[in-house]
Amino acid sequence: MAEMTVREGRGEAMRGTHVLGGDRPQEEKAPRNEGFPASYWQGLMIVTLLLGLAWINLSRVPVDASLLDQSIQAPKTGFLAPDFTLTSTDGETFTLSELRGTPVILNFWATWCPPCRAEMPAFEEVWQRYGRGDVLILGVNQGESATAVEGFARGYIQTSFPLLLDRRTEVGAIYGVRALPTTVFVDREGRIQDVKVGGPLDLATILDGVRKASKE
Amino acid sequence: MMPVLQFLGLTLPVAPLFALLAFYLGSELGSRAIGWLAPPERRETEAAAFNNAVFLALVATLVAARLVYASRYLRLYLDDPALLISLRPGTLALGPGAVIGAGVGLLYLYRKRVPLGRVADAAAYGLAGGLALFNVGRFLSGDAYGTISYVPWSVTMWGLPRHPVQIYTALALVAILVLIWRYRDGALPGEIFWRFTMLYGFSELFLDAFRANPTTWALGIRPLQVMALAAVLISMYILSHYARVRSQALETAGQLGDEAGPSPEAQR
Repeated sequence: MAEMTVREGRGEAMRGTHVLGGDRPQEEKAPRNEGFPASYWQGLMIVTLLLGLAWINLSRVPVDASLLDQSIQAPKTGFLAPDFTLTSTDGETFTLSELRGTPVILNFWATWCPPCRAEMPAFEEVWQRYGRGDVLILGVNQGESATAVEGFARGYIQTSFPLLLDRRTEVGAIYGVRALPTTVFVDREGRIQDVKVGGPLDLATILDGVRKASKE
Repeated sequence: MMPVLQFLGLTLPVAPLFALLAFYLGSELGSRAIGWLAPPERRETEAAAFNNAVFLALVATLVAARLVYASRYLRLYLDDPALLISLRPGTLALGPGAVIGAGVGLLYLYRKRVPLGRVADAAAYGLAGGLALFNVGRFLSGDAYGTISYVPWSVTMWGLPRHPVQIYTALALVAILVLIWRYRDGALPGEIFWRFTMLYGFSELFLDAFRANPTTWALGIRPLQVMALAAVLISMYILSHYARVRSQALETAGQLGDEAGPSPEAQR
């Protein structure tokens, strides 16, 4: 409780240290009678508790409503990753929806993008560490030819994970890619767990994304 | 939606940009508020101390956040210590970092003898303004989106029309800022902070019902609403204490007036 000492004089009170605040100026007039009286607050607390509990009950998330958003495809954490089919430089076709059961990392990149090139070694290290069974890394090239990507992959970045060709950047548009690199971490159920815009991503960031995508 | 902003050839992600702007606005409002609340002879000192504390808290938050994150991947960071100074914001444990940062800031203010109540009151203004701007950023980036709705003002987000709950929250915070400013006279130290906590708690208790994909407990209960209700009730209890203190002060002042007798003016 606040300690109060009084000084003789009309309408003045000296207030000492307040338990919930700090020191107040030594001399001040008595506060104006503002705010609600204490008994009002006690009644308000009871009413608030009852109405608050009622509102919490009314706004509970029904099971079918919680599933509704989860069936929507959108390039956003929590939603199903938009499906697509692309071909790699090796001629292998990948359809995202057919990859359920394995966490997938989609890395949108281009040969002319310096941070994209800078983070390739980190992706390659993750690929070597986890292999194709535990995590699938797909490099989704934006708007370049197979010749350009193959030459770059062999001569510069020396990656061994699949490099997919999105020649018309249609998949990039579906995923709302506005900056390169953009990396999307998709879990075993096809749901996006994280989106990283920009780079270069370091190994710790990629491993963190793998951890999120690998959770059961 | 505008998840990124193209500006002078740069692609800037909107969410972190608005978070930075919100932090700046909040710290600026807080330092001005502590200047208004402090006695005239302490105004400049306390405003400067508040600004310094915010800066220290920010630095401490970033350092602590990086160290906590690194502790989760200790082997990796021991193998490559240069990762500790990476500019990548994704490798920060911001929750624990913010707690440590706030502690550093408060310790600095304690050492500078700035009363805790005044700090809390100033922080209330900063939080109200900063969080309002932060929620505008969330609306632009599509984060914390609302439940599906077909009201005339619904906004299409992630493929469906939804409540613009981020805008509701921003407007509520602006209203709270106006209210705690409008009714600041006569407030005891710390009282403005608890008024803010109560009002913000009310807004979150109500508006969280319009957020989609929340974390839920058993039976679909939204934990944020439970925490908001607890914050409201705690704030009300503390505000009732302030009311008792105020009424005791008035009673005492009334007694003094009776003992002193009529004023000289009344006697003439």
